[in-house]
Amino acid sequence: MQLYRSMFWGALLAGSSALYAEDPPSLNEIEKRIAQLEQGNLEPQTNWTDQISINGYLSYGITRHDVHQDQGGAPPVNFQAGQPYTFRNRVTDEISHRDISRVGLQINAEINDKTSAVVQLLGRGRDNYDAEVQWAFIDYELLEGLNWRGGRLMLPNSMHSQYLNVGYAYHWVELPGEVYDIVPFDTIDGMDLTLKFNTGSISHDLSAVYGSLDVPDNTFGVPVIYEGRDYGGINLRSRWGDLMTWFSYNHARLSADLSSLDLAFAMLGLPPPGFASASIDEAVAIGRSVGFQYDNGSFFMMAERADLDIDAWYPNRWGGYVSTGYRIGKWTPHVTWGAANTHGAADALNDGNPLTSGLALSNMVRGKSWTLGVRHDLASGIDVKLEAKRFYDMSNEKFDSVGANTNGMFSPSTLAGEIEDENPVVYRISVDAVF
Amino acid sequence: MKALKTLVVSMLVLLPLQVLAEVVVVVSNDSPISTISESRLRQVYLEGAGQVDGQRVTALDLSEENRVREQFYKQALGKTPAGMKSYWARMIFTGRGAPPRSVSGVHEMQIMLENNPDFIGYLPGNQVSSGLKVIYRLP
Repeated sequence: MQLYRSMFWGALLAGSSALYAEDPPSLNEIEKRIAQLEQGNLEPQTNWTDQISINGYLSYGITRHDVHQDQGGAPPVNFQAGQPYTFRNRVTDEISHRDISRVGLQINAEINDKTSAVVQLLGRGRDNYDAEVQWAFIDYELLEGLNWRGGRLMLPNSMHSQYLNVGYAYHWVELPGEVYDIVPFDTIDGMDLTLKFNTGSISHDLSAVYGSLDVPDNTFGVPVIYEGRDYGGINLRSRWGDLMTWFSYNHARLSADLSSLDLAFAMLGLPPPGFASASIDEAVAIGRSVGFQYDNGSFFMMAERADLDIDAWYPNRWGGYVSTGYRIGKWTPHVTWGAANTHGAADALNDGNPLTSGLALSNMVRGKSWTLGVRHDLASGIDVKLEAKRFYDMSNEKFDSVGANTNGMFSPSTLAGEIEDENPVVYRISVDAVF
Repeated sequence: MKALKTLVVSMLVLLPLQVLAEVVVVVSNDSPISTISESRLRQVYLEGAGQVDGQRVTALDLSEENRVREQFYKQALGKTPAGMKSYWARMIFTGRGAPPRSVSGVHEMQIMLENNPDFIGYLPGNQVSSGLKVIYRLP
């Protein structure tokens, strides 16, 4: 009888028919369901389908910019001379169906009341949808409200970082690059510990993370591994009614052996530029971010600022944005102002090494932008979004050295020459789904 | 005059259909919980479960298509169905939680709540069965 009752509740939870409030099931219908259960479904309630759930997300997007100009310079300074300017090293003035398209698949398995395992695979269009693991962890509830997770985790660098690939989760086609391009890596191998607690009517998630990361980079055609060690951080997400706030602080030691780049030049018959001298050896890297979000269901506003300081030739950088929008039925028009700037590269610029000063000048990014966009919710779990991002003020007047990059997030002017258009625009359209 | 009379009668007939029933938050009569604050109700439905007066409760939802569910989220959390879907996308894909389990209708919600004091749910005010008690009335 106990088994029978369990099965009945299980069947009810499964929601076998979509009934409306006005239509309670008839006795006949309940009897029919009971008969179906009695006839064949005699497995226990806790079968594998109760323990495992599969979710996914998919974004198909198209993007291009409006800089119809080829890069200047010449090898070996610029190996992309004669090719179109790129935005964020990828997008050109030709429509790309791959750059912002991606798919994710997540499997959650409940091992017991306190333990679960989660695996999330991501395939990016720009990587030919080759799958990479974004999340793979065991979650164990140590105490009520205190959870430990170990494995591969998405880095909690900024307010939206841990779901940056889930397009359906936010109103933009892509998260603002001013903040979300600052840290060029998104996963960590390690653990985190999260405590949920309340102070009055404010609920908090306080989380600490520790681990390491190895980020392969192939920008110059030869692999370089950026190693982050003793990566430790703490973040606090607090919610009070319609208001949410976010603080995070992260610290790591960063190393990268760039000597392989010299070998690449030598193999091309070119004199090695001396990249080895620009190798990074356990440089202290500190990242901080602060943000807030207000959302009353119709009107929303959010703002965020993030900083990254690396004690090496890489210039210190900050970025921020303010975004607001209003939901009118299924439509959400929104506007975002963003800004990014770099500073603190004086040591690299004055150390007498032309290579480190050249790298610092190339990596200086300054610019502001306006993004206008609209999201339309087509149906439950699927939306279509359009946006245009227009840049301005990409000058280097306020840098502490002349000759820095003046192309913002486009191909650096130090290598490719200055973009003639002072207000380049990036266009994006996407269809996002969760399932 | 006849047309006016017809219009008035039509409005009187149609008016009750336009007014949505009051939505109330309920638990089993066997539950020790007697009331819940607005902020705690909000937290329980944003996390799928939570503590109320020291008692662990698990939230239940009506199905996505149900208009009572839409009304509940609009009044209790100020969220639209799309807003909640987007919120749960953030929670699910960061491993921070799963949405409340859905039951298929009001009758199923009544049965689930009556038989398990650890569940919390919501119903139209005129559909509270004898085994349940109201712990919060939505404004």
